[in-house]
Amino acid sequence: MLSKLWRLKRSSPKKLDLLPKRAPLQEQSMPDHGLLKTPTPANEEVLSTSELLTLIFSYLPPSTLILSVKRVCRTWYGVISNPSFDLQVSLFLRPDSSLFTTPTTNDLLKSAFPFWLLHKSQLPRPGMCSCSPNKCGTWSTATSTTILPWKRNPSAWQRNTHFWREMLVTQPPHRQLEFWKITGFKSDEPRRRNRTHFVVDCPGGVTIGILYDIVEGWIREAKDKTYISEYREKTMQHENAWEDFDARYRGQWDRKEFYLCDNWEERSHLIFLHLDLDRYSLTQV
Amino acid sequence: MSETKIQKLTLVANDGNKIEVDRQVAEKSVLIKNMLDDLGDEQMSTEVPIPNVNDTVLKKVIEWCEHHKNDPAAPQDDDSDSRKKTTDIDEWDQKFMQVDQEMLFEIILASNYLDIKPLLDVGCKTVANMIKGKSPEEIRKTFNITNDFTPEEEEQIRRENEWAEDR
Repeated sequence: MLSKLWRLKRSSPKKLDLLPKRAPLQEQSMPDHGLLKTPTPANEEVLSTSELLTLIFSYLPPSTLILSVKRVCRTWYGVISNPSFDLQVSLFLRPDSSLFTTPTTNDLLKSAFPFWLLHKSQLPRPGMCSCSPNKCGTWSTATSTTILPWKRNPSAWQRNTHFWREMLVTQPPHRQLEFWKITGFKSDEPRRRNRTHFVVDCPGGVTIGILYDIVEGWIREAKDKTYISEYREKTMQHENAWEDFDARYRGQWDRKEFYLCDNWEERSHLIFLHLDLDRYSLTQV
Repeated sequence: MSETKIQKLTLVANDGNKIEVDRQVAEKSVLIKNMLDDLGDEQMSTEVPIPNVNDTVLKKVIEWCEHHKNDPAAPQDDDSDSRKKTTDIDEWDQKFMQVDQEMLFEIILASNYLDIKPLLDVGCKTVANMIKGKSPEEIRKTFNITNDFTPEEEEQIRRENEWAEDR
C-alpha cells in the first residue's frame, strides 16, 4: 500500500519539480551519517572492494591518504601502496591531465616544507629581491640548512626513498624550474649585482626528488673547501687573518632563487626556495 | 518503430516489489539502458528484475534519477580525465545523501551495480568527506573497521611515514 502511494506521487514529474527541495527523505536526517555500531554487509562490501575504495580515495588529498588512510587497515594500506592509475594522480605520483583540475600544491609537501612553495605574488620580481632572510622568511641560509626537513631527521628521509621522491610538487605539475644566481655585495645597488639566470625543463613534472637533489647539491657546493680552507690557512698564518677574511667576505652575497614555472616568460611562478649563502657565517660551521 | 517504443518500465526489486518509472528515468542506469538497446523494444519485457537491490534502496535510487533525469549525459568514454576532482556536492544531492551509513553504502553498491556513475560519484564523495581530516583511529571508529595490523606492521608503516610526519 505504501509503495503504491509512493509510486503515484513520484511518477508525476511535474509535481516533483514543484517541490524539489521538500522532497521527503525516506530516512531520518543524520547529517554526519552517525557512527556505525555494527558492521553491515553494505558497509563491509564497499570498504573492502578495492575499485570502490579507489574511487572514494581519489577525492582525498595526499596528506589524508598517506597519514591517515594508509594506516587504517591492511586492505586500505594495500590500495594506497599499490595505487591504480587514478589514485596515482591523487597521490601526486602521476601528472593530472584533466582540464578541469584547479592547480593545487601537494598539501603533504606544503606542510613538510612550510617556508617553501609560496606564491610569487608575495615577492618581488625574480632576481630582484634584496630584503633580509629574517624579514622575508622565505629562504634559508647555508648555515641554517638544519631547518631543511631532511636535515632534521636524515634517516627518515634516507629510508624508503620511493615513498616521497617521485611525488609531484604541484598538480597539474609545473614543468620548468627557473634559477637565479645572484652574487655581489650587499651594499651594491640591486641592479649592479651579478645575475645569472637559467631554466631547466622537467618534462615529467617537477618532483620533490628533483628539488631535494638540487638543494643538496648546492649545499655541498657551498660548504665546499675553497673559502673554508682559505680561512683556516690564513688563521694559521697570523692572528689577525680573520679580520682580512671578514673584510672580504662579510658583505658578500651569494644567493640562489628557485622558481617553479610552466613558461618562465609568463612569470606565473610558484617560488620554491631562496637560498642565501652568507660566506662569513659559513666559516663558523 | 517509434510508436511502439516503451515509455514506462517496471523495476522489480529483489524482494518482489514493483516500481513503475519513466523510461527516461530508468535510463540513467547505464545497465538498464544497455539492456534496452541490446534487446530492442520488441523483445524487452517491461518488467526489469533488479536482483541485487532491495525495495527501499531502489526507491531511493529512483528518487535521485527522477531529480537528475534532465542532466546532460556524462561523456561516453568515462575517463578520470573528464571527471572533476572536487569534493563539492550540489545542495540537493547533499540533502539526498543525509541518510544513515547503511543506506549510504547501499546507495553506493546499487549505483555501482546499476552503473549510474554520477550517483556513484556523489556517494563516494560523501564517504571521502567523512574520512577527510580524521586520524586512522577516528576513521576506524566511524566505519567500524578492525585494525588488523600486527605491531610489527604498524611500526613498519610508521617508519615509512616518518619523513612526512616529522615537523
